[in-house]
Amino acid sequence: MDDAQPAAISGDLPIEPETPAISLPFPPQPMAFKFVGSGAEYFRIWIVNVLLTIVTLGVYSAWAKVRRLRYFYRCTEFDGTGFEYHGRPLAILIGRVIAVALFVAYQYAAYVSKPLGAGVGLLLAVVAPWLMRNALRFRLHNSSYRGLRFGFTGSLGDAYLATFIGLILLIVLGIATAILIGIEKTLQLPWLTGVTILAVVLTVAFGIYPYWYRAFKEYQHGNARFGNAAFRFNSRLASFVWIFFQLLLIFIGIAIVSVVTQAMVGDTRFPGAATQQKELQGVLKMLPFLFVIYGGMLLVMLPFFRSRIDNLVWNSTALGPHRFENRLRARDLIVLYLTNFIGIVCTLGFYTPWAMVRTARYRAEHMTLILAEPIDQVLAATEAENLAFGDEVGGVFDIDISL
Amino acid sequence: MEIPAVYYDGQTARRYPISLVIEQGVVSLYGPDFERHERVIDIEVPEHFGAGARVLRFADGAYCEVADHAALNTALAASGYRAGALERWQRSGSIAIAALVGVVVISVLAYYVGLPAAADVVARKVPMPFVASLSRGALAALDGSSLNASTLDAERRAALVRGYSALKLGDNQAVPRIEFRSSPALGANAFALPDGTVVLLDELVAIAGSDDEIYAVLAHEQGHVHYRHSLRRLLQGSVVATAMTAWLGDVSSMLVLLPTVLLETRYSRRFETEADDYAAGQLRARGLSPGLLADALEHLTAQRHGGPDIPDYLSSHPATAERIKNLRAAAE
Repeated sequence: MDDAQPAAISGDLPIEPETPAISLPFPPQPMAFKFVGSGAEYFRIWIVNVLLTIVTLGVYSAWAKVRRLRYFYRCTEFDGTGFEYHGRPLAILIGRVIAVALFVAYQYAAYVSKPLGAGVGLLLAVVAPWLMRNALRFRLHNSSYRGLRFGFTGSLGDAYLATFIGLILLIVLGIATAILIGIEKTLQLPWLTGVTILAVVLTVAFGIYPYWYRAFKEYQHGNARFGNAAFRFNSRLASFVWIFFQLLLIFIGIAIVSVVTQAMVGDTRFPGAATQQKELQGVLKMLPFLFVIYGGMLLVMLPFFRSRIDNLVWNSTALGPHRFENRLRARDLIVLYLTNFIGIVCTLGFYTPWAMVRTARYRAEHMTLILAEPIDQVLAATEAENLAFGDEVGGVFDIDISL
Repeated sequence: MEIPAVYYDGQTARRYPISLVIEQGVVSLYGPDFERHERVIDIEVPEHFGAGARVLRFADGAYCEVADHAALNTALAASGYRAGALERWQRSGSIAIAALVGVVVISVLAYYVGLPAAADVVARKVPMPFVASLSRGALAALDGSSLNASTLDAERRAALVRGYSALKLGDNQAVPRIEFRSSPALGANAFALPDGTVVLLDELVAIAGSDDEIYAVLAHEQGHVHYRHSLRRLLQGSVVATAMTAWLGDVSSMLVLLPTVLLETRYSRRFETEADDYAAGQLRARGLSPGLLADALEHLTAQRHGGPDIPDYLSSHPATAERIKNLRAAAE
């Protein structure tokens, strides 16, 4: 399991497979990430990117992506050294052309004929895991720290499993439910149908979905490498379920507040609350409710989910014996999102570079790597991955299909 | 001049403190028990980004970090190295301002002039079979949802088609394709499909004051066909939506919605005005009054009696009162 040990050693006598073979009297030492970029600095890069992207009708966007990532990588520092991005713009451009072609085909196929639309949709679903794995490989193989490349070793089969496991479970659940309801119908037990439906909803919300989410993150994080050191992902399903359960409680709270607001504000006429279209009229009458529920979801649920799930995912991730510690706080994210949102609205979008820098800074500054050995020892022991692996990646798969 | 630097060999993550000398086009690295010499032209000097250390990258994956930007720049410049134009642009404040102005000017021009003109050209080039299948698909989708079969008897329908054909409105002199449907959901309405088919709803026939009013509405729809409005709307709408997603999509997909709607509805209102003008011209040329369309619009408004309109800038159609006023003016 532990690939962090060089292969020559792991072939020897099995010494304590569970605990890492480190007995040095070294107290775990947290080392924080840092972000040294600034909004004004990134604005200058960004605005040139935007201009050239517009002038070239989007072709330059691949080069823009490289510049953006290089800036954000370089400005993210660990132990005084920034990260490096090596992606080639042409590979990204080819990937984008393919992505746009797929997207356009998907958008317009349905107009031409329903079977064609369904066919294209099915094709997209079938290739999606392959594309996802490709994007992960591209991103990680083109990232480096101190001259050592990251890597991704997740297999294609696991990519399909991680993507479709939830779907498979849902289908199984669906069949089981249909059979159960059939039995209840024939036995004349209508009250049981309600119980069954409730059970199905709970199974999906607190069983299948958290399990699916975790499987996906496990695939992403558990297959990453830094040089010859492997990342590991160890988590308990219960921790994921707990987050989804809290999310449900928050949603119920927001829903109650929205209903109460609607009841209190109710019939108040908003400017132009009445319109010719009947459907729109219904929507406008519900405006107080919709306003509170969307606002609540955007400004409370989203930051809560982002912070908790990010913390859980990173805190379950380790690089060899060194584990990550992520400490995002929902209330910080609420303030961050809200101020970014206001800034972007007030400047018609030109605040974007500052918003991106602030977000990157917040995230970097709340992540630490807890080192189990002195940093120099860690880094001196980490070596580049053998080249054969890199060669394969340099071939036909070297395109980045992620927008 | 010796510049302090850090060297990484690309094989391990070990950090080698070294000193760097650039002389006569050669970069030399000197460590305690280490030396390396490379020509400046064989070294990649990645873009200079802000406060972070500068990097010199070697062909074999090794690289070198320099914290002292100024010293490195001086040494590189002395050996004939020159940063690319883009790199210099990205550091310059005045270029940033020029780029900002450029982005604003180009976007405004593209929205008001470029995109409508381009969509017009492209809409004419879209092959007819594609347009036809697009239209069939759209009608089939509507038939499956909000449209029901027409309850008008065959005679009435034939009379309307005959009367409308006799007027020879529109530019294709062939018999216009009119599809009769009814729709309680859509109410009194008519709409044109990209291939020129006009869908006429029973509800509109019911409230029209005369058949001429129906023909006036059909002439308006013919206007949409004539200018290929539905295709242009599709094209312009997709570009606007894509641009807005690229511009704001990272922040929030909800935030994308409002500007997209605002920008698209302006195009849509322009199309309505164009179609009104077209109908007015066609009606006048056949000795009919453009006021007929105004009459039809008044009947529609009276039937809807819905209270105040939604604000003009949010509506896909210009204010009805405004349209009626313009048509009445055209009638005089």
